[in-house]
Amino acid sequence: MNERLMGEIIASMEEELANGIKKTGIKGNHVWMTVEQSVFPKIAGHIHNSWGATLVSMHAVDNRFISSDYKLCIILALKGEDDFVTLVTSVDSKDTVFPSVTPEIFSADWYEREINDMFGLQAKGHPDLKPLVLYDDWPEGTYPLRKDFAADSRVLRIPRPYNYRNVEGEGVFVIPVGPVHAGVIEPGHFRFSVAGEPIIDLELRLGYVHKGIEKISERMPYSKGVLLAERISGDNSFAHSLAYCQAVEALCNAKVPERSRFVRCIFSELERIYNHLGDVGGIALDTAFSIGAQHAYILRERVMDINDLLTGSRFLRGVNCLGGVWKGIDERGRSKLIERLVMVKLDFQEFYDEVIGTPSVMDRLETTGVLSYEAAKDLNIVGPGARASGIDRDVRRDHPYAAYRDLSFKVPILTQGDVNARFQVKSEEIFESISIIEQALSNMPEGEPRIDIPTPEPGRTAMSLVESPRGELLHWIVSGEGKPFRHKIRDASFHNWRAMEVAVLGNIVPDFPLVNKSFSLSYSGNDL
Amino acid sequence: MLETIRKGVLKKGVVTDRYPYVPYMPYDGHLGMPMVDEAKCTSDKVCEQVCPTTAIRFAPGQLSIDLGLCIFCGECARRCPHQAIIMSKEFELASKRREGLVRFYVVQQ
Repeated sequence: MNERLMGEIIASMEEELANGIKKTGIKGNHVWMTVEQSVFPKIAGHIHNSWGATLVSMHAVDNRFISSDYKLCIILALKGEDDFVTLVTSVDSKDTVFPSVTPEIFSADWYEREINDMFGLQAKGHPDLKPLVLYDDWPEGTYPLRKDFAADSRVLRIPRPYNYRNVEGEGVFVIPVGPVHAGVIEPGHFRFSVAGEPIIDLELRLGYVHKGIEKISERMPYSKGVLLAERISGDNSFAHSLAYCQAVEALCNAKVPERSRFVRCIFSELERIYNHLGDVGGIALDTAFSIGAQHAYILRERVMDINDLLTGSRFLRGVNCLGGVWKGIDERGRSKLIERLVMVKLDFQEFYDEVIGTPSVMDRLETTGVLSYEAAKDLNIVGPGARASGIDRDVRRDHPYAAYRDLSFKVPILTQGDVNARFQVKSEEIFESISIIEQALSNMPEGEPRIDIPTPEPGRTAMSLVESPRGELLHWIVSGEGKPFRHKIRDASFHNWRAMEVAVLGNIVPDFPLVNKSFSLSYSGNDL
Repeated sequence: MLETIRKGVLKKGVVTDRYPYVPYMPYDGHLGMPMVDEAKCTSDKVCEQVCPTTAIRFAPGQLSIDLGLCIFCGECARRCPHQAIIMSKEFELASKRREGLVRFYVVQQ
C-alpha cells in the first residue's frame, strides 16, 4: 500500500525535485524521505499543495554527536488517508542556515521561529525571524535545545527590545494588554491597534511560561516522562499523557491490552466533555449571560467530580501508564458514570436550549470573530475551531488510535467560522462524546488493564497524534538510553493561537475575550 | 426572566457544599497526602528512586516526604513492593512555615 503511495508521490514530482531525494523508507504508515537541503522546501510544498497534505510538525534534532549535523524534519499528513510523509534533511553544524519552508507552506512560520530560538538554525528567506518562545532577555547565541547546553545552566539575562509590528495613522491607538491579566489565567501579551472601535491589527507575544519541557524530558526516564507529560497543559493532562504513552509504546512495538484501549477512549472523552463544558460556559459568561454560564459550570463540576470518583484526580492524572492504564473502571464506577452521563446529557440539552433561545446572547455570538475557511486552511488551524470553519479533519477518525476504530461517532462540521459555529461544534461534540463513552462502556472487553513493556532500544523514532479537546496534538520521540534523545511536543494551541490574529480583525475590543474563549487556547501548552 | 428564575433557583437548588463548616470527604482512591506505614517500610528506597520531584528522601533510620515538592502523582504508592506508602484522603496540608510541609517517618535501617 505504502510503496505504491510513495511511488505515486515521487512520480508526481518534477524531475529536479525527484532527483533531490537521497533515500526513502517505509515504516508502518510512515513514508520517510531523506532529501537534499536545496529542494527540501520545494518537495514539502509540493506534497502540501498537490496532495492536500496538512503540516503536522516541523522540528530539528541536534545530531552533532552522532552524524555531525542537525536534522530537520517535516511531518505531513496526507489528505483522506491514515498515512504520513516525513521529510528529513540535514543542516550543517557550522553553517547553520537552511532554506525557509514558509514561502511554500505558510503555517511553517512559527515552527521556523521556534527552531531558530531553540537550535539557532536560521531559515533563510523567512519573512520575520524574531524570537517566538524564548524570553526577551534571553542572551543571543545560547540555544537551549542544543545538546551542549546543560539543562541546569543559568544564563545571564540582558533585556532587549522586542520588535513589534507598528501600525501608524491618524486616530490609530495601540492598546497593550497583558502579560498579567485580570483573573487567575496564564500570561500572554496582546497588542491591539484600533481605529475607533474596530481592531485593525493584533499581535501576540507568548512564551512567558516557557518551562523547557522538551529539554527536561530528555533527562527523564520514560516512566517518569508520563508524569511530566501529564503536566504540560493542565486541562489536557490525559491527552498529553496518552500521546506520550502511545509514542513510547510504538517505540518498542508493544501492543497494549484491549481493555486499556477502551478505558483510554472513555477518559479522553470525559476530558473533552469537561473542557468543552468549560468553554461553552465561558462563552456564555463573556456575553454576560451569567445564569447560563453557571449552569455550564455546574455541569463541568459534575463531570470533574466523576473523574475524581473514577481516578482520584479531577484532571485525570495518574491514569495512563506505559503499557496501558493503572486503573480500569469497575462495576460501581461504571454504573455511577452511566448515571452521571444521563444527567449531564439532559441538563446540557437544557442549557443549550436556553442559550439558543436567548436573542441577546445569539446576537453577540453570530458573525463575531469570523475565521474563513481559507484562513483556517493557511494557518493550519486544528480541532473544533477548524471544524467550525469547514475543515473536515479529526484525528480520532482520520488517524484512529486507542479504540476509536471500533466506535462510531459523527464529526460535526460547520462552515460559518464565527463564535456561534464554534459554540455549536463544541455542543455537538459533547453529545457525541457522551455517546462514545456509552458505546465504549458496553463494548469494553474484560482483562488486564496493563502489561509491562520493555525499555525501547536507542535510536528509534515514533510519533503519536491525539485529538485533545483543543485539537490535534503530537508527541514525537527519538529514543535514547532509557530516556528520550529528542522529544518534540506540539500542542494544538501552537497552531490555533494564530487564528486569533485573523479572527478578531474588524471586531470591537469587548468581543476579544469572546473570540479568545471560543478558540480555548492554552498558554502553557504553547510555551512548553 | 421568570422562566430563568424558575429553571435556575427553583429547579437547580443549591449546588455548593458547606465546606469548611461541614467536612469534605474525598472519594476512595483520592490522591491526597502520601503517608508511610513505618512498620511495613524496609528502606529499600524504591520510592526515592521513582519519585519524579525528589520529594522523598532517606536518611539513616528516617524517611522524609516534602509536601512542598510532592506533585501527588501516587507513583511511590503504586511502586512500593511492600505497600508501605498509601495516598491518603488528607488534603488540608497548608502550613505557615516552609519546614512545616516536610513530614518525617521513623523507618528501619
